Amino acid sequence: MLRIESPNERAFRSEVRSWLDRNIPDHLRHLTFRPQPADAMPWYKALSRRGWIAPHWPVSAGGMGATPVEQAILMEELAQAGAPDIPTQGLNHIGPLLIKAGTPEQKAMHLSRIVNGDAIWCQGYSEPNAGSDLASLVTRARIEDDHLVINGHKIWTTWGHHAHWMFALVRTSGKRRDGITFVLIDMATSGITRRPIVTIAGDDEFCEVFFDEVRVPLSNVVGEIGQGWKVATSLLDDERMHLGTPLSVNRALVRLKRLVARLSKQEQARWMARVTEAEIAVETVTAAWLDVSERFEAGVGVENESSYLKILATETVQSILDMALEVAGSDAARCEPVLEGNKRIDVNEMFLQSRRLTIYGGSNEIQRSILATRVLGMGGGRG
Amino acid sequence: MPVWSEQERMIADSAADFFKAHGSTDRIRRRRDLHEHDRETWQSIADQGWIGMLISESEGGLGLDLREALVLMQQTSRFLTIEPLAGAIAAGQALVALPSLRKVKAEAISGTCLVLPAWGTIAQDGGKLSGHSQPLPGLRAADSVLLFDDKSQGMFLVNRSMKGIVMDAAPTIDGGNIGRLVLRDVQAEQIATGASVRNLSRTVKDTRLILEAAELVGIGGEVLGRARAYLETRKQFGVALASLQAVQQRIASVHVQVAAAEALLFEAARAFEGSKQSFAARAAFYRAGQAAHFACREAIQFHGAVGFTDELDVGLYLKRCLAITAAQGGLEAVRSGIAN
Repeated sequence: MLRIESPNERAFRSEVRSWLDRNIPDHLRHLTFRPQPADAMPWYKALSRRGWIAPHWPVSAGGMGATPVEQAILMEELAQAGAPDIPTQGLNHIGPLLIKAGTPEQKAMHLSRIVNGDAIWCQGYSEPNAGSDLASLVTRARIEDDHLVINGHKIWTTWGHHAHWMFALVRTSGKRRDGITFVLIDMATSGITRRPIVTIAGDDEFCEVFFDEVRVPLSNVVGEIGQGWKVATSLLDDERMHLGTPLSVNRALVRLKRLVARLSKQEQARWMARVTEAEIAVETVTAAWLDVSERFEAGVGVENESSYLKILATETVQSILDMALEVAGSDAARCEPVLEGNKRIDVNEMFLQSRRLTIYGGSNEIQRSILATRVLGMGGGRG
Repeated sequence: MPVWSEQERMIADSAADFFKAHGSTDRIRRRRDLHEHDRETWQSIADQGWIGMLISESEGGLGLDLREALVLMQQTSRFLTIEPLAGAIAAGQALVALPSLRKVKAEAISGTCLVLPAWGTIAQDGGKLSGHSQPLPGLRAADSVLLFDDKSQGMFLVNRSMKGIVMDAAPTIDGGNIGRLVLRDVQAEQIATGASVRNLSRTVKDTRLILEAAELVGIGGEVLGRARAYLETRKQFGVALASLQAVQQRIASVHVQVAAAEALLFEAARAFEGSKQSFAARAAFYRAGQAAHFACREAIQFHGAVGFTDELDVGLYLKRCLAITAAQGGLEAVRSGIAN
């Protein structure tokens, strides 16, 4: 962050830095993968106990009510300290959505469990034939007494095989955006089968989920039956802003710098200009995110601007990791991270994982179409 | 993109009105082969108070904050102002700091004496100065030059009438000019020395960079808007070009880069007077330069053959964009300025 920090912000940064220094377990620092729940969730809970797990949530919902600047400070320090990745579907997606649109019962049941780390969530949106074109989804739900009975198939479900709950879009009637219902599904319900999918990065970050006569109480519907599209998209800008935060670019920059630090002084000098380019790029993403977030908070005109943030942040991450591969030189293709003493240095893991960034959350091609048609007002395209 | 306050909106509007009245791109077309300073327009700019826009009202300036100045500079380049306004405003930051330059400051603000900043290597021999500056845009216009030698931490004020001063400048493609100031046994006094010079030099350099970054963002936004308008009206294959996805994807990429450069510009302004000031100014210039160059090239492509003609104004913006970045030694040089 470039701006001059206030005394309070400086104090917060140093408090975060020293707490992270003392509290991140050594074996979880600078990991190449997001750790499995057995490792990730104790860390999640530690952050939660410290009060920093949900910086962007209002205090009334158990969050920190942090300003965008405080959030950026947290992200920069988490990246710098090499803190492990945690699951975010609860924190960034369903949590804020329930705060806005959930029933009192739904809020009481779910919000504190998300903050405490007692419930892991996954998102059931994509289907084999409904990815970027989400409105073509066909997973069906019929109403029987006071239940929805769901049959169908969801895919690309991040952490679906670890999740306790899924928030999903299912078709209760109609076509396209009409007749879609937003529902919360307990993953322990009978009739659910999960099959992990191995990614090009070699991890099983996501899975597919099959529904066979899965019975979900109607009280788990968020909003009205058939109004799910509206519910799901009501926080779209907010959600896309989480895909455009400074967190991932800072993580990528830390990886790049750790690779550069292994080189001889002479070689380091050769890469200096590129590293500077990456630093400028990270500050650009941070500036853009702060700008949009601060205007979002103030309630002035950010509609669809999240699309530009998503494009900017995800493509910046990829460009920094492309650079990192070049810096890694002949180590770039190694299966295992490079060990330098007791330091584990990621070579290609995050690079491989980052290929998904420009695909998920609405591919960057979709985001560009949104920018062209809705922000730049270019006529004739699909809106 | 950052939302402007009421005050900033007024500044932007009045700048737009001013430049519409003073010829905009037509003025540049009329004068571009002369490569001479447009004294009349410069005086009008001075009459607006803009040369002293960052100087406090008690010191005879307009007392704008940096953010407001950036809004104004974006507007000047949208209307293709090629005058060395950024340099003159930046020089004012040093003039105001030294009581001994009170008179020069007043003349600079009023437009009677155009003072530009330059950096170079100056040797002193018995009170006589020799050496040369780095290339200075708008050199032909300068009445006086505030010269910094960062190595010896010296600061000098020389004017074109002094014996031993050579101010040869080459024409640049935007209609301006650029050249090195050469000193041969010039009888001129050192105005200041030591740490205070280091600080003033940094302030002036960073201020010029961020003001020029604003000009570059302005150019990017302007050509993006022009391309957008053209694509809406131009039809081929029976449809507006704006409806073609291949075109939409590309113009969206231009928007992303220009919007990001603008966000960085205003974030950089909040770094001023802090420890990251110089990094921020260079970073803002670098990204703004990249975005503006990208936008100009794409805008030419979007216009097709007419984009390649001299008749279309987009070419003028590309040339201005190149002149601004070249005057800093190019984007690569600005970036290595950070790395070193």
